[in-house]
Amino acid sequence: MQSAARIIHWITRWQTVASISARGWCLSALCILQMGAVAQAASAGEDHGCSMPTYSAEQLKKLDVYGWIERMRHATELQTYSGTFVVMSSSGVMSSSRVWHVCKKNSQIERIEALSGTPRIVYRQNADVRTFTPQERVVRVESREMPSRLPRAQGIDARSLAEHYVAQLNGQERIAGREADVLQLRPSDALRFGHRIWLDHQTGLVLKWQTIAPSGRVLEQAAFSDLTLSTPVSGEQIAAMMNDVVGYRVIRERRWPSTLESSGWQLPIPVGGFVLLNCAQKEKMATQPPRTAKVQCVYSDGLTSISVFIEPYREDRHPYDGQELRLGATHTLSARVAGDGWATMVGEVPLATLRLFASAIKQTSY
Amino acid sequence: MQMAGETMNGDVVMREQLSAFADGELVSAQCAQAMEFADSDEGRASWHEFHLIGDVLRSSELARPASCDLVSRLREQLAKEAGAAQLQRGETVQIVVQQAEQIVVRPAAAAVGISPRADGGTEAVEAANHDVFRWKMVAGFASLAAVATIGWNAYTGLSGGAASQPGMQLAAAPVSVESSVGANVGSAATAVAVNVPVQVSNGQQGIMIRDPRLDELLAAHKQYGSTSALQMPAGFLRNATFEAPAR
Repeated sequence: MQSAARIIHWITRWQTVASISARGWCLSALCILQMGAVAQAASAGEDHGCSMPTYSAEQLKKLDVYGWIERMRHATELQTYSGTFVVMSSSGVMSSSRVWHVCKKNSQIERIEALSGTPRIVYRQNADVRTFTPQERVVRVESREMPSRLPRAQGIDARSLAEHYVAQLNGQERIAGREADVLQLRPSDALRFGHRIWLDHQTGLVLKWQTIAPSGRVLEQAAFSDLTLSTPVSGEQIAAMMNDVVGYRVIRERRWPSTLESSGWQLPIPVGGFVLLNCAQKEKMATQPPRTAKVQCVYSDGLTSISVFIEPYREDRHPYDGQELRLGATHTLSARVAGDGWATMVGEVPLATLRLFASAIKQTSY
Repeated sequence: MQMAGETMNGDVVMREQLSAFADGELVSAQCAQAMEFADSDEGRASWHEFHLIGDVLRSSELARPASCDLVSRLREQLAKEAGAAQLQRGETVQIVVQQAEQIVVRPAAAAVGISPRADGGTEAVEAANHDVFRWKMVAGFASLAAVATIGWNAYTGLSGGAASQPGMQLAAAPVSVESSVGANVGSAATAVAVNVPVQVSNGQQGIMIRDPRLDELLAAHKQYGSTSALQMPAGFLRNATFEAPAR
């Protein structure tokens, strides 16, 4: 990357120095093309944009929580890999899926096929996501935020992460046929879960992930049972599969950005470290009276996230007594809030945190 | 594998070795011993037996149904045993006439024990305490209580009056309250205008009917909520992989 940048820098300088005659520009354009070709030949097959930074052992020891997250994220996005991913919750529910991920020239394409339960295949090309359900012959098309935009959200940075989590390297283990570093992320309070993560030593890919309750119990474990750094089919073939919607009914799911305030509620964040990432709603009306829309707002502390779904309370739809559930590491809490609202909170956090969020919801005062 | 006599200990060991040999699991040192045993009469009979068993297990066409007289003999034996048990009890107090009781008691007897017969039918085998009326009452109350409990659980678990759809899902365990956390935060939290019943369990696999609307919200959280970087590798994949059982 450095050399290409330098080359371009010199070329632009040369351009300004050269005469502004047409011939000068043509020559410079030719030069750029040649330089580009040279640079490409020099990199010999390596895709720019998909190359990952490498870390030495000392650098790894010095990484803080933010640094580890960055490393994990880079590896997940920029590495090409395929394998079988298995998720197990403490209640015994287990599900697995086959994962293919290809990074090429800074664009990513991936395919995840659910091997348990309802057959479902999720394709993602950058922000464009398509979910195929072969049994119903339905394709859901939606767009999601690119993961690279987070956790650079305002309020989440290295300092806030370090305040709430402590990172510790705990040796090496072998997972899915690869050497892995064991990273322990301990939360600084009981309002978050701890995590134990096995990262591939060579690439930084997440090989195994345990979410741990404050009591030390493993709530959920997600791991690759096998992993190879290549895919059985190429990125173009996956794109072709993704575009093959013949015989399927296509449903476009749109979401509109929104804010809590515009919907008539407010939520001053009760737990330190969490910030609001975004809010969205599925139905957009030109004018809507306050507290009639259904909104989903996502809060995150950089490591884990909470979704708050708020809708107007309706006696026929919502029993007065809400409920609390845990599925693996995910807690859900639904309850009546702020007088006439019904909130459902979903997050990989302890129940107490969800309760704090629920009790902080207020109506906006007009 | 019952062999008569006390001197057969050695032979039992030899039969086991021979069986392992037939399965190809024997260590080479023991092979010589097994071969020697195979040469003897019992050895040859055992060898033939093992291979017959293996062949029958591996190919269904070799297996023939048990002969009819075996079934009828079995039925007789069962009838005899049932009768004998009743006599042994010595507690048979007949309160009402036998025939009338039969009609009343059928469901209770069914609740107490239905055992499949040898021919695959499910005719109720009379329970040993069949004639004791008080046990039938107890059985009746027990089944009534069980139904009531299940019904109550289903009622409280079913939030939002979700209509019973054909695809009603099973949920994973209800919440197990982290009591230490609850105690700490409970005092700190301000008055929560929320009346939420917590279903305490030991984290065992509880089966509950889950609200399909909650399913939708869970899916929305996995797709749009788990976008923090750490969750991305696991969360996005978890979204595609996480499924409630028996879907």
